[in-house]
Amino acid sequence: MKPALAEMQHLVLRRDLAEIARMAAWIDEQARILELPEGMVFRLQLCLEEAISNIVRHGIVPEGSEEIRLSLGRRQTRVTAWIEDEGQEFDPLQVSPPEPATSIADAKPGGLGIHLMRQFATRIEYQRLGSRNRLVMEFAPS
Amino acid sequence: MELATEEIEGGITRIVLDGRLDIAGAGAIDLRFNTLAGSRRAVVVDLSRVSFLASMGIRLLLTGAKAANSKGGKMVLLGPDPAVEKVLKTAGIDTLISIHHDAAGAIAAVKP
Repeated sequence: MKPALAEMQHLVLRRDLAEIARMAAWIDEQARILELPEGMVFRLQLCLEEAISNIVRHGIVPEGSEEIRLSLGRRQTRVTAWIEDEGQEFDPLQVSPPEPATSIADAKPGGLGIHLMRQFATRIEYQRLGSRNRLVMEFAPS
Repeated sequence: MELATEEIEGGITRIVLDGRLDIAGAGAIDLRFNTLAGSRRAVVVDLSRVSFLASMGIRLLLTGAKAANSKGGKMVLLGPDPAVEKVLKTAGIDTLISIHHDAAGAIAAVKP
């Protein structure tokens, strides 16, 4: 049997890039309460910024579905983040990694967010639940 | 996010970034950073005071390096902390913009 999940914390965000700063402050506060190691906090901040900014910038949403719900919980040394939104179905795990550029002139800025999430989270899972997207990211100590 | 510039020996500009290079930090300085990168022949971007880097920060650095490159200039990175350097390397930026850990090496790499 899995050990019990420490109490989960929730944050509701509007679909607005300005909300990312509020989220970053909230993650720092949760990290302090959960006594997370510094390296893990960096990875959490990185992956959550990428996930939320993708949803805000690229998500296609029905009217009135402006909320993104973020939950964080710790089980022993692992932390899990759940991100849910009402956008059109989008599984980031189906996105191919960017082709590495061979020169500055050829390099195209952008398209790195999902690649970084896959590299810095220990595990990522996507679920479609009715009309909601749910992204689950798990972080083990590095 | 703070941006400061310093003209050093041999026409080299050092751009010192201080703070979080996240979506808000990158947005706060992108215009100034790109204007500087595109108008100087040799730029050393000092990252030693950058505590966090996400993809919008990488975009800023890459756009700056492209602006410098298109005008015949050169840009390198100096002194990222290990977590920031890991993001740069995971994104493959180190193969496009060289990363240095000593100022002398960075200056030698951009010297016209």
